[in-house]
Amino acid sequence: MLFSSIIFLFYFLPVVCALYFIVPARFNTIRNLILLLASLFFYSWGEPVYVFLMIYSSVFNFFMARQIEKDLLAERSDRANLIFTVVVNLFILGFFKYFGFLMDTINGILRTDFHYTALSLPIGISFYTFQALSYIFDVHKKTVPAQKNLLHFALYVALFPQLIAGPIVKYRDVAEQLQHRTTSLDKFGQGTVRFILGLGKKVLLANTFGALYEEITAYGHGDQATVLTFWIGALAYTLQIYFDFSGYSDMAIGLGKIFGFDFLENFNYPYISRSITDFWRRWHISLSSWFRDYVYFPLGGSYVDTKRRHIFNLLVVWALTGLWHGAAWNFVFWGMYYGIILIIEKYIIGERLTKIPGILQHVYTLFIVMVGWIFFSSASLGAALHYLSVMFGFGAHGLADITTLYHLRTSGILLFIGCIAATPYPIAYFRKFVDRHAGIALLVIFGIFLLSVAYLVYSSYNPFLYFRF
Amino acid sequence: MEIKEIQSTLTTQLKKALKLCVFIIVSVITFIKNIQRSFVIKVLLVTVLVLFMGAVYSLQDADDVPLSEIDKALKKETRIEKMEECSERQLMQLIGIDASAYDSFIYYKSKKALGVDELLIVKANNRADLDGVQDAVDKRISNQIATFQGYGPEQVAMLKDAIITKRGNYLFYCVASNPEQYEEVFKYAV
Repeated sequence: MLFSSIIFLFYFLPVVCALYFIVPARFNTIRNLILLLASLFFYSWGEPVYVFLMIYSSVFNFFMARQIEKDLLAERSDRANLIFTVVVNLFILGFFKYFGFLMDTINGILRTDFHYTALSLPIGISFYTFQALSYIFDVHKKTVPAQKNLLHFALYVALFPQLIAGPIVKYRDVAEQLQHRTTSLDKFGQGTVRFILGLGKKVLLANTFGALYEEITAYGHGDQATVLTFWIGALAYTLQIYFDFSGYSDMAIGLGKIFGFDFLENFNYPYISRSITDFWRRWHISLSSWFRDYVYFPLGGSYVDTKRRHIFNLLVVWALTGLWHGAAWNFVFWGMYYGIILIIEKYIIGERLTKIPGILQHVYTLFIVMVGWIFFSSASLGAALHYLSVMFGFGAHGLADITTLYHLRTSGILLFIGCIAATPYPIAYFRKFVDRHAGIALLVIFGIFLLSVAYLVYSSYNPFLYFRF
Repeated sequence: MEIKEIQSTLTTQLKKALKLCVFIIVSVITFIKNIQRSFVIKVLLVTVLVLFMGAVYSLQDADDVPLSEIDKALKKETRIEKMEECSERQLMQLIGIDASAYDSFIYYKSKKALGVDELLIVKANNRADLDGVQDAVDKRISNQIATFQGYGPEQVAMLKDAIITKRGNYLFYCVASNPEQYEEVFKYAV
């Protein structure tokens, strides 16, 4: 089920809210049970078979965390149980997500033709597997005690607001909230506003930019493939992916707030970054911090003896980050691309970058990011290289043409609005506006909701880009 | 004398065999007793996982069958001749799918101007390519619903009951008064 769908907005969410708030706050276990059942229903709406996999993941990790804790309490080595748990989790992820990629690679390298069936990807598997692994690692490190109640743990894994596309909520951040959390009218209101803003970002902005990008990529090798048109397409995708994913995160955080949960922020205006290092502190924060805590630091992070070892650590983390996003070489390439740029920033241009004018720092960052998104959005590495070659004038049919002018005329204002909306200024202004004219602000929010619903009624299926991860 | 000797040898052998059996049984019981409950649960969990994965794989697997064979089966088992076979151009025009990007396809649509019956099977070169086909099909359904909304309740109902199934590298899409019949033939064929 999609957040941005009529079924979710007008049937599922009101019913779940009603059932949840009918139960008095002191009966937290019953409230958790309602949320868990609702989450399983939400997931099984689109994944009737794979809901079993999610239940399995909950039961398996719940049981194994208790085994690991038992070992720790008995002062035995928990290494065997830890390795077993990690291997099983990664095996599940690998089987469903990377099996086809592996077979294609084997067939490609060995020039064989092994028949196989690449399975359909269970939605959200990368997100909930990483959540479960964070729990296992934290229990192993004694950061948190193992959960004694399967219901609470299953809710942590399956909680529908962040189940499908994150943020990747670490267990330690919500452990207390699973047992005790507060709901209030104030929090409900804040959550609703955040949800509607996220809905507007996705439906009104991301989908519109997505349509523009799709139109431009369809030009392929045709006469309309000009340098400027392809740059407009790259900008459209840059804005689409930000509003799509940060919109989803806003909706998840808003829904969490409605039900009393406080999730950490996942985005902090990444497009105002002055360097790529800064960008990755602001983009998909929950994923970056997951890799930092559970891969980069255990590898030694930057506290290693040699520069070579540090570079190795960075490349491993970024290759894995790329691979996490998708089972294809263009994602691995995309991850390595960022790994290499971060190494260059760290060891070569870092100091110099801070000394150039601020505007040039922004231009540099956005240039790198926009080029990176081409690898990310393309169906294959070949398609990405073709698109990039046109952007840089190779194989392009001129600098611009009538189609470029058409796109500028029809989408120029919207692209400008998107660029402004990706900065903190509109929200900061809106907050001030809320303080002064609360009534009008409420009407604005209601207007965004109505427009989004109107768009949804007349639009086709529009899944979130991050669903495929 | 010889018989007695044989009897005593047999008795000794039997006793030895009996002792061995008792030893084996006691060992097995001791082994089972010593197995920790957690180990049994782990084995059970892994078994359940492997069975589930096997079941999912076999459900989604498909043989490498040429679409011409599926087409033959459809012509034999269903009333697909009531629809007209469409060309690559129509596939592009109506559903927005570029046939050259895929291995092969079959596309039939209703002969009637106001009919929404259609059947599409696309065989992709790899399964990941089917995502694009699915998006195009979803869009087609939404567009058709928007077209018939308000004056074609029967057509809208049929469109809402459309079947989209993926098997191996194939995507099957059908809008008809009994789409399950076509789906069954497709599933049997692959």
